[in-house]
Amino acid sequence: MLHILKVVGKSMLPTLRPETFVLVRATWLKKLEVGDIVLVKHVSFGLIIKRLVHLDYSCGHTIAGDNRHSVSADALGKIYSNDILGVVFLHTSN
Amino acid sequence: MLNYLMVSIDKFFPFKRVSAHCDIPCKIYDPISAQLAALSIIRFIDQIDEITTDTLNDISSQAKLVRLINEKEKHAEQVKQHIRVIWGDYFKQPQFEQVTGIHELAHDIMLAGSACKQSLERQKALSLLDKVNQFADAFWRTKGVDTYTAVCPYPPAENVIYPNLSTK
Repeated sequence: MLHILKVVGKSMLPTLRPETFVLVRATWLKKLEVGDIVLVKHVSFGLIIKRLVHLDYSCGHTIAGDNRHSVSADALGKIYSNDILGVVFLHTSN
Repeated sequence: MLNYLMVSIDKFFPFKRVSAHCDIPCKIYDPISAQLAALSIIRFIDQIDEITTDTLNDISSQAKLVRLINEKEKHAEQVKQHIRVIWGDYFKQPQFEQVTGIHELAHDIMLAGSACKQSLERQKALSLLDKVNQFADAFWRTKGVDTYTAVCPYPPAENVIYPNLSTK
């Protein structure tokens, strides 16, 4: 229902610096919205944190990093609702 | 204050890490991951084929069949994912100019990967491997590395394009 995680990597800069702590709540507690920072269980990249940039419940959602050097949305592929483990609602600033 | 508290807790009871994956630090691209996933699909289809209707009455055979089908579909998605990463992140204008037809080939792999999810036909898995091998050949060409074809030394013993790194 509630997770605290530590961010590793730079793809969410400038929003989330490496070593930022994020508080994540389960998706059933909040309806997904474009712009949410989401925790995703990705088939190739494992547990990742990205921004939800497009919602499509039938053909798959699109996620991307805030940093232009992030793995591209194309490379990340389509994400389905059950791949999204939670939504960030609070993060520390370091 | 909150950050200080978290850092202190993390020292003694480390929180789980989550990756904000970025391309900058690694630049590690190699089509072998896609080739291995394509070979695995062929292997899974062969193993599924070994489960006969007689043995399928056995609960352990049923469990094995479910596992093999799940793995086959997972590996088909992995092929698509590995190719998407190389095509989307590694290939840029200079590489596109070196290798014509790479967009069509990448798209063909997406379709062939999906066909392998839907089907148990070995021929479709062989077709996927052939396309992934062509993609691997194109990838190594952009790096100025010669390739050669050899039968992989493990099941399913199919042809694989390998880089000849000693000539680079």
